[in-house]
Amino acid sequence: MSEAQKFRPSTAMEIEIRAAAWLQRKRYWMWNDEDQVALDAWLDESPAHDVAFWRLEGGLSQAERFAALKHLLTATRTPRNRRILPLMFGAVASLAVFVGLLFGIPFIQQNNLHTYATAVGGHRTLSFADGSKIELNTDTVVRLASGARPLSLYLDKGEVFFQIKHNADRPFVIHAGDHRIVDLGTKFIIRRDEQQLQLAVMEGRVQLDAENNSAKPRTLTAGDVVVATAKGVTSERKPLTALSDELGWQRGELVFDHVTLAYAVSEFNRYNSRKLLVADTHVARLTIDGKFRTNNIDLFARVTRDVLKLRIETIGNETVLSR
Amino acid sequence: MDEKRENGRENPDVQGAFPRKRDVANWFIREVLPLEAILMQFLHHNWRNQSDIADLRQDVYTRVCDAARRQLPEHAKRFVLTTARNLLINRMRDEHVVPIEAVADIDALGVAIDQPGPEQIIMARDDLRRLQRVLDRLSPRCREAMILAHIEGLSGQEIAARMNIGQATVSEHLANGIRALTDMMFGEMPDLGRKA
Repeated sequence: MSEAQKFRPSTAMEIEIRAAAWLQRKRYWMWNDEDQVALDAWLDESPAHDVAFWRLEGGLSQAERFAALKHLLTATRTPRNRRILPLMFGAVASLAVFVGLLFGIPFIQQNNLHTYATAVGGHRTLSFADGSKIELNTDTVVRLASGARPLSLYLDKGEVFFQIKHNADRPFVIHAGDHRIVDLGTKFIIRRDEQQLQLAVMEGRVQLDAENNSAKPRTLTAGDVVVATAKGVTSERKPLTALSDELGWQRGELVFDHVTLAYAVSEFNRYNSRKLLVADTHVARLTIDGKFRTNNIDLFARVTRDVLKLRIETIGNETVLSR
Repeated sequence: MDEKRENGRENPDVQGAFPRKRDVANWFIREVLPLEAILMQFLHHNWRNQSDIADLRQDVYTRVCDAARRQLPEHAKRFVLTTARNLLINRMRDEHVVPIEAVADIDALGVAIDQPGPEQIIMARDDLRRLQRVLDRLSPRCREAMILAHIEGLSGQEIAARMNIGQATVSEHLANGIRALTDMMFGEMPDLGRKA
């Protein structure tokens, strides 16, 4: 205890100092049953000893969680006498990375992937400590490598809206099949299904890259829409208003601006387990406008009946639109 | 304070329906410690003599845990802050220092009391800065000892050998490191009198 204290020494502080001495002994040094008995005796002297010790235990285990990822990577050592304490905060991987940086340890690519998924009709937002946000649309699966640097996300299927706070030191990289997408400070949507990958940039810049480096990376800017299929990559420019229509799902809406019925139906089918079918190619080529709730199939069907004079027939889990 | 000694560690399983000591410890760490920043803010606002704060916090914790030995409180936040207010009122009465109305501040916190604490969910960017500041405040040797212990996983003995210093000095560094990290984790800056 420093003599320089201007005020009377706090008994709480003295207890804390004693508790810290105990805890470091127990945690970092040889520890046997006799030591435990001695510690228990000290703890039993006063409830104040208990709370001081618990508090430091909690603090240390909390701090240790930041280094926990690193711990996994260090060679397994003889197990210490260490209690597992309950988690107190949600895990914040970026903190772990941050501590890693502070401690001057370069962070190593993690194999720890967390899977986030939505069901048909689902919608989920993941927020990051730096303010970045990603939103999963219906029927989507992503895997996120939380401790990794750069931050890696694997889009297995579905559609994701990215709103990324750019950090040159910690780029955000998306892997989607054969393609690699790197944010350069931006908002963009990526949609992946079996046949194709679509990337639309609403704001800022994005870099699109082939996973095997077979093609030259290309930089996309706001309004660029790229579609990649097995056959190749095509790109077009769309007005931003059209792109914001494509983000209607964030509000639970489908916005159709003169699209074919085939397209509209396929969009509805992404969000609903009850499926819409069109009877023939003539019906499929009719066009429609409007704004619908993603789950309101009935309203959509009624509109096609009233506006396009179609017949609606529901059999089991399917609703058929026909002439 | 010691009237409940018979509830000590000697017979942790003879409590019947009462929570066991380890349950109380777990509850305390899980529910109460995350409230420390709020509690400290409350104490700082409502108690003039800042040098009493550490003792007051300890008293609050002790009372809260004492009550938890009988039954774990359902609403930790409300319980902790109410305990703190009652403690302050008693102390003010005893010391005739401040009019009791001065503790009205807890009602201003009323809204916060009922909401589930976001502080339990998110360590914001502020915490990153605070962590940086805490680590900066540790003396270089103390920081080095903590890094060796937690990043490299060395034991105290190994740290002493690596840093070529005595074991007692290593103990001191590690104890200071634990205290500073704990203060940071639960929302209080380590005080200036504790330069490790």
